[in-house]
Amino acid sequence: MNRRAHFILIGLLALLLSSAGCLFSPRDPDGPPDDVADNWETPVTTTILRENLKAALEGENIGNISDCFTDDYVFEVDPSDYIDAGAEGDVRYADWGKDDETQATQAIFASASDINVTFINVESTDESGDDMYRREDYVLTIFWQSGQNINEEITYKGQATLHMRREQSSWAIYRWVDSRTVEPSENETWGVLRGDYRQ
Amino acid sequence: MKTSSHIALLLVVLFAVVVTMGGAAYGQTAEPPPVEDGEASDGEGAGAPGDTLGGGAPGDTLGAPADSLAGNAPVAMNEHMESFQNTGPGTRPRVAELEPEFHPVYKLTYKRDEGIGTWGHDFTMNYPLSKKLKFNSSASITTKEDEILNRENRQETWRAGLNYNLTGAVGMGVKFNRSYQIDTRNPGRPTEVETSREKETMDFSTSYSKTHFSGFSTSLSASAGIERNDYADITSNGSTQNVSATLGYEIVENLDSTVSYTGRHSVLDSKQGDFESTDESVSHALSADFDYEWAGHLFKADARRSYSETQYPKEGQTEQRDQESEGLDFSTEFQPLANLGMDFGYTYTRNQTYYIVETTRDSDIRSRSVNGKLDYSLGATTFSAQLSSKKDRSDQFSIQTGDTYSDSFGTTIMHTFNSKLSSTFRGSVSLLSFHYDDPEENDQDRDLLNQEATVTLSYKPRTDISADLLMRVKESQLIYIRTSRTGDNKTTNTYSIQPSIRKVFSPTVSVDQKYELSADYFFYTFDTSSNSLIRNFGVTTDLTWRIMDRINTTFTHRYRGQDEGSYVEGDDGIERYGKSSERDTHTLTILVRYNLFGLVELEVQQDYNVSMKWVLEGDTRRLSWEKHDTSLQGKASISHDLENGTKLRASVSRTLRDAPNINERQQDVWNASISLERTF
Repeated sequence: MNRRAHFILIGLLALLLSSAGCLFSPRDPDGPPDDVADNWETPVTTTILRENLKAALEGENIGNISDCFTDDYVFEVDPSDYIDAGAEGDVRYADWGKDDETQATQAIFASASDINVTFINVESTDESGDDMYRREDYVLTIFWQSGQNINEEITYKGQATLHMRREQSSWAIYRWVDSRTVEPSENETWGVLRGDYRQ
Repeated sequence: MKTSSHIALLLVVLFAVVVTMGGAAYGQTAEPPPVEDGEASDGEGAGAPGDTLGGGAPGDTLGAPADSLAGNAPVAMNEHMESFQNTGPGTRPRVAELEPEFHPVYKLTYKRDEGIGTWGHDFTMNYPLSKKLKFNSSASITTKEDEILNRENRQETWRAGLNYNLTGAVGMGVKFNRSYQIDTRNPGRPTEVETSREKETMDFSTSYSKTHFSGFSTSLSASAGIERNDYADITSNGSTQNVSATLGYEIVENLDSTVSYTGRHSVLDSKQGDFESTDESVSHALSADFDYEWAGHLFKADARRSYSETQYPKEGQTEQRDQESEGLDFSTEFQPLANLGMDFGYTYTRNQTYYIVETTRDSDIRSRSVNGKLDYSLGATTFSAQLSSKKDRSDQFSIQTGDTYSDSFGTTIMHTFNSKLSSTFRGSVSLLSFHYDDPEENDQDRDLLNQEATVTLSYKPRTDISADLLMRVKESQLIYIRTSRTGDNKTTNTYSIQPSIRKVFSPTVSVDQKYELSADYFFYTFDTSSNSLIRNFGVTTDLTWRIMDRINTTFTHRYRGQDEGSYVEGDDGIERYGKSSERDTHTLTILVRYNLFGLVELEVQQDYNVSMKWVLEGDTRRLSWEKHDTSLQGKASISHDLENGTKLRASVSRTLRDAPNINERQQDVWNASISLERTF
């Protein structure tokens, strides 16, 4: 090792660290909130996780939505929804990950003025381990303030099989398998809504 | 009879005739005819034409890549024309001579998991009819039955084709594809509903690929075909044409370049209910790559641009999706010293998508990023660091329009103190920042800052003892900028330490023990009364004992304790932990593995699990609930290869459980998987 290499290395390290100092300074918030909304509880159980997801949707809180899903999260659309999409099937649903989930949800927030969601548990596995699933019937009602259904209230129905994993203290969803309702329904699924708002 | 059936039948008859003729011509022997001078066997030539006719076509459309095929083209062509052979320097060496053997492969799979049974049948039949003519075919049928949701799903894919190498540089092909998918809900009931999609394509293709001399090669291919597509309420029929070309050239020594073009055009007559339309789609893609190597350093530059217009029926209208993409990549890899490496890169991309009907889905996304990496080693120490910065500009033509900044820095330092002790330090920091153009309408502006550091120590004082220690500190900040959202601003701090030790007592007995201690603090910026703390403690002990050569046992005990509560500031300004609940979980597992005759692996596992939760109210500790869960699982698996090439893989297990809050179906669960592959 010669002195020149030392100088090069030290110089590059200094450059990297000085760059890092500038790059990693977050912004200051505008100020304290007018009203504190308590929409998040640490999801030490899967039921709390489901309630956090509901509160984040209804409160249109994209940060908390993101915290409900693992980084390797995948969404699987109902096979019939995929077939119905025809030539658009892959564009709408293929390789759906966490970024797609947050971006589509944020696009929905941008067009919705009011969101209500109800989950009804159909089946749960034991959560004493680190991996489990819950089967939930859902009813999602959205009043649209813009988009194709402007000034209309649309209800989406289906069933979600939520595969969840415990990481450290908290549970998060790593796979969402979407299904149409068992009985034929005029209502589209949450999966179709996701496809409509994929960026 | 359907058109597809006619085509399939025609191909089968054609195949039978050709097999008969080919078999007669070559007598089904392993002795191929002599290779003529100047002819290239399959696989020769840069860009390898072989069975790549029609390559470059996208997706599952006509002219899809690879295994297209060819008609029985006139063999009497002048095979020795220099322009249509790959004979010069730079061509690849001649491959093994033809041994026309017929080996169909059939694979059967079955899997049953949590009430979902899946059957799979895969059949592949490829046959070199002659040195120049190949037949390729495959069929795949997958059926899935979901007992819980009462669903049935079936997917079929059929492919058949012929490839003909007219010369070493020119090839032709014909190919037929059929795919069918049907999804049935509530089969056999009055509420039965079916959704299906059927697609058939047939295409004819030709290609030319030539290595003119070392460092210069050209490749051209074109295909045309017909397509029929049925799904939901939509039917379309039409034709497609594809063309692709690649030019490879070594401009000067160590400077290589490749220029490629792919084009596609299709016209489909579509019908959706009473709505009829003629959908025309077109796409062009052009790319260029340059690689230069100088004194051990590498420089790369890639540029690409594509444009496409796709028309399809959409709710009684003709929808058109226009997409335009461009991209540029520069990257360099320097090695100024033997122990010092540096990489730098720059990337630019722009993707624009516009719709005629669904204009709300229009988008224009531009991304620019730079990154740098440094690797350095000195004796027993290695150091590496990465820094990257990215900016995305997204025009969504809605209030989603805005910028996203993503920056990250990471470093790793590894040091080996001696043969017994080594250590690793990893540190990282990242900031993701969302800035929207219209803060009045979109209040989701936010920053996500993550910082993490881990230290790992590995110590092995003796051959029979090893120990590891992992220490981790992490901080995550979620900062909303607009006052309407700042109530959710929070910082999460995680501290954890995980020591573990392994002791080998004898060649048959070993013990592992791992401890986990962690604490997660949640601090709300403007709502400090919601601050909370969760603490975790866990111990896992494994005893592994090989009783006999074929019998292994593992005893595992796992304990996990967790408590949680508020972590708020008192009147004296000091934050204190107010524990509100505790949970304990004990799991005992006994696993016995036995290998029967070296053929079948048997497993029996019994688990006993106890979980308890207490609630603390003042000085009182009250048991909230207590759960006992037992399960017994038996499993047999086999993995066996027969001498005739048949492969068998099978596994079946049954789990019996007794626990509260589980339904009848979960009390007795069968899982199975079988795979049988036979090469004839």
